[in-house]
Amino acid sequence: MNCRECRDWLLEASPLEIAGALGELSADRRADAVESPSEAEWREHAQACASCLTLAERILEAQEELAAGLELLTPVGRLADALAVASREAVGRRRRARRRRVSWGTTAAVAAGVLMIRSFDSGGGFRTDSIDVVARGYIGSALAPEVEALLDESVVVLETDDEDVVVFWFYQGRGE
Amino acid sequence: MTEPRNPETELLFLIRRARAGDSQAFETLATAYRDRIYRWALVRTGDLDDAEDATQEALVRLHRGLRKFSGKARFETWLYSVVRNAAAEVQRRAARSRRLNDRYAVQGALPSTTAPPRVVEGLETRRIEGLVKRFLQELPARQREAMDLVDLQGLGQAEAATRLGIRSATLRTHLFRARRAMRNRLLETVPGIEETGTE
Repeated sequence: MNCRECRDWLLEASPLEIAGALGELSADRRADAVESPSEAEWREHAQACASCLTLAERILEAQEELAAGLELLTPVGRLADALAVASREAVGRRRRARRRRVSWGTTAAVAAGVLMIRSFDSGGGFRTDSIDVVARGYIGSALAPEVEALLDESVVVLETDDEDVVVFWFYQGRGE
Repeated sequence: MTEPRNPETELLFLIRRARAGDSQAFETLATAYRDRIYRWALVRTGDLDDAEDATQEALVRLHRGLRKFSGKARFETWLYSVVRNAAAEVQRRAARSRRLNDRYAVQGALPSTTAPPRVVEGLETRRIEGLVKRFLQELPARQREAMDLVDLQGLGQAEAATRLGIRSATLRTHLFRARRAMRNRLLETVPGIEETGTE
């Protein structure tokens, strides 16, 4: 093995392999993932070549320095603050997600209601001044507020399972 | 009832409690993993501030998503994917914000808000600082992750590949490239390297 081959191996070998080749590691800890020249061959070269030996040692040293350097970098924020924010934010997101689900449900219910009314309208004889549309899970039976549609308009009043939210759907046309 | 002794069992016990809404258990869990989460986020993003944000985002996702952890995968493997997703989200947000800032900067509506570079405290030598900077700034994210998991944290290549969602052969490619990139510089800096070696 010459210096070039030795360094080529050193550039890709795992730290464990290099440590093993330097005799710094027990055999059972040596990695075998990289196809490398035999350690004996490498060791023979390193014994005669101080520069390759230095490079191998420097690689291991740099590896340790990098690991130590990264270990020193830790979050700067206080843990207690981070946990409080995490907890609050997680709960908030859960609520928002639930609201979104409800909102999709409401929209679906409204759409279903409008389609139903339209189909009645097209058949004639069904007046839609103010109708409570019942959609499973989203429409309550509480009293809907009285709503007057403008002339030539119809209105659908939908209560949702959120008592603060009532949907008014105005649309053109008046079924007779 | 006897307390579980095995660390793995202890961890699952803790997760179960946290999942059931025990805030103390969540706190213990988060405290135990926060530094590791930050480290993964840092290696993923390559930026101290993004890593800080990603750590916070990952804690939120951990809080919300613990219920989704089925226990089929190892907790760390699952958590690693949570952190990677959080980091990706933070980087997307940061990129959007940068684009917006750039747009305003071009139009002169806003002053540049680029923060001064943070000083990394506690690093004793310039050499270590240089190594960390090179690692974070010069290597692509995948190479950083591969090197961190395998060489620095001592994970097996198969486990590292699973965490990164790539094949082992791909992981090895990233790993070798990362090692070469980091070590090539040493060839220039180590004194006494000659090309005249023995045959």
